[in-house]
Amino acid sequence: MCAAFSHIYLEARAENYSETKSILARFPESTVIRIKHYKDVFNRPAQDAALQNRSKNLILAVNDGKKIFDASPVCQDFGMGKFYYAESAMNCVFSCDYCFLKGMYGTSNVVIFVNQEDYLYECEEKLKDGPMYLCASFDTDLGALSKVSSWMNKWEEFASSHSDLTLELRTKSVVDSFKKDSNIIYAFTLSPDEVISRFEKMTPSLDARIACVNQAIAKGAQVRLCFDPLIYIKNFELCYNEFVGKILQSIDLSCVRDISIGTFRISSDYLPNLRKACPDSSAVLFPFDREDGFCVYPAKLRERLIGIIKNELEKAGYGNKLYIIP
Amino acid sequence: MIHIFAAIDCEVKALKHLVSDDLEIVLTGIGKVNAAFAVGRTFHHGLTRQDLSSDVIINIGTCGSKDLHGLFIVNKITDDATGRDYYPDILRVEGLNEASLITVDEVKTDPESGYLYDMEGSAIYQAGSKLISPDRIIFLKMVSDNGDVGGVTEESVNELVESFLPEIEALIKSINESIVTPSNDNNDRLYDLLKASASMKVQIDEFMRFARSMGEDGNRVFDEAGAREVTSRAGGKEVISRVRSILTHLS
Repeated sequence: MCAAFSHIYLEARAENYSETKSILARFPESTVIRIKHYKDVFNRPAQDAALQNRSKNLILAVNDGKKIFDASPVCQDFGMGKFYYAESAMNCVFSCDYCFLKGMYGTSNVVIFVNQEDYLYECEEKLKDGPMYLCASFDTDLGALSKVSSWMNKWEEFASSHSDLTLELRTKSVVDSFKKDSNIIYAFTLSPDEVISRFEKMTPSLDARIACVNQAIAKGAQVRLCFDPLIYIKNFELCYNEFVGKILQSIDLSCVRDISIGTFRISSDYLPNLRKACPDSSAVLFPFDREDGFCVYPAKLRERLIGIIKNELEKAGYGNKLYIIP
Repeated sequence: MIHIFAAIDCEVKALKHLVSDDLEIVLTGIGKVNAAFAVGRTFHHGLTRQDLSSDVIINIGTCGSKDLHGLFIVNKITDDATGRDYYPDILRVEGLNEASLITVDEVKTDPESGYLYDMEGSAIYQAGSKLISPDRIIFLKMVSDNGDVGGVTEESVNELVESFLPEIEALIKSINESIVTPSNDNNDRLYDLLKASASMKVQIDEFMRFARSMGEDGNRVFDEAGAREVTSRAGGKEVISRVRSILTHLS
């Protein structure tokens, strides 16, 4: 995935970073607009995120604030203790109707922070307190940005030389290179083609993602499969049954490190923005229950959705690999 | 509705034939205070962002530049007095040259290379962005001078604006095509049938939208849930609860 950004907004202080130079070199046709601070563009009030989504722009900036954060309690921590995420970039070149980024940010433009060494330094400082688990592809999809930015490689190289760091790189994209270090986990979000075509716009097909997963397995990489979020659609039982059958046929799950299963859930604060961004999408218009500040499917529906995947994977003998977000 | 803001009378005259039921031209007068006042006056009816969700501001006018020539769409505005920058979102216009604009309080006789200079832009953006999203505030500037305004006359401005009328008309056409007027849900029948309170109306609207997004006929779902038989608001709430159950069991 290599979006052609018609405009690149460039913070003056970001100009001399090598990451900036290599990104700009990839987009010689883009109009570059000098800015003082990324928030002047990214945080403009009342932006038309839906319109921007048709022509996303890129913002190159320096993050002089916090770079690594405690992870949200609704995220699966896979039994790891100290669980963080890195904000290497904000927003995504993909456009999933249900994505929390659409709820969190009032814009579709993408920010890439170019002061990579500062992130690695902050990570090193945190590692002094003991081993940590870090999601580096959290407020973005670094795999999808891998034709734009070197961030994914940067984190992989850093993790290769820091065995006390467990790095998760979650993606819906088709990545073409993998490291086989045991502390680097490639987490692939897999969804039925109907869900992909309706709600995961601009992302690769299920077949392409499966091929990528198999390539990662063949290279000896640590692979996580994420059946998350499961989305309520008409005939979901049939659709997800066929889906899990296809996964079992196409991927040797004995070579997969673990599997997470979860239904769609989102902070109640984000839902209004999500509905504004995708006013016709059933993924976000569902009449959700509200539990502890989150919008969730009713408990029985969650059980049914999760049960489809869980039961089939258990029957196939992979119950010990499952992490379920109830 | 498109609102064209122009600073001087001869610019307005050259554009006047564009006026229609959906397009007005507002003479702002010269300078930031006049420009901000004109924008405020145009939207003074206590309107909200939602009321104006298909309105567009276009500032059309002449400007100075040391070395740029022609017609430009502005992608950045700097207020010379405050140093603050503003960024119109260039999403609705294609094929025009872009440039940065500096809004000054007095005519700039020694302009910097590579910039446009005007006396209203930053104020129009600031005032307009209180109600209009940044993709619907558009600045179209034509270079009339290099800082020496001695040669700028009513006739020369008129001639300059008229020379770019094809581009301006094409821009307006493309903006009109890109504006989608939001459709309002009309669920009055269900509100009446269910004796709906304000919060029930919100739920009815949400359920109707969800039903539509799932390919269902929302009215049919409400009828199936017993919307016709309601005699009290409590009964209406029961129907809404049944509708929810139907919509979440479509598999």
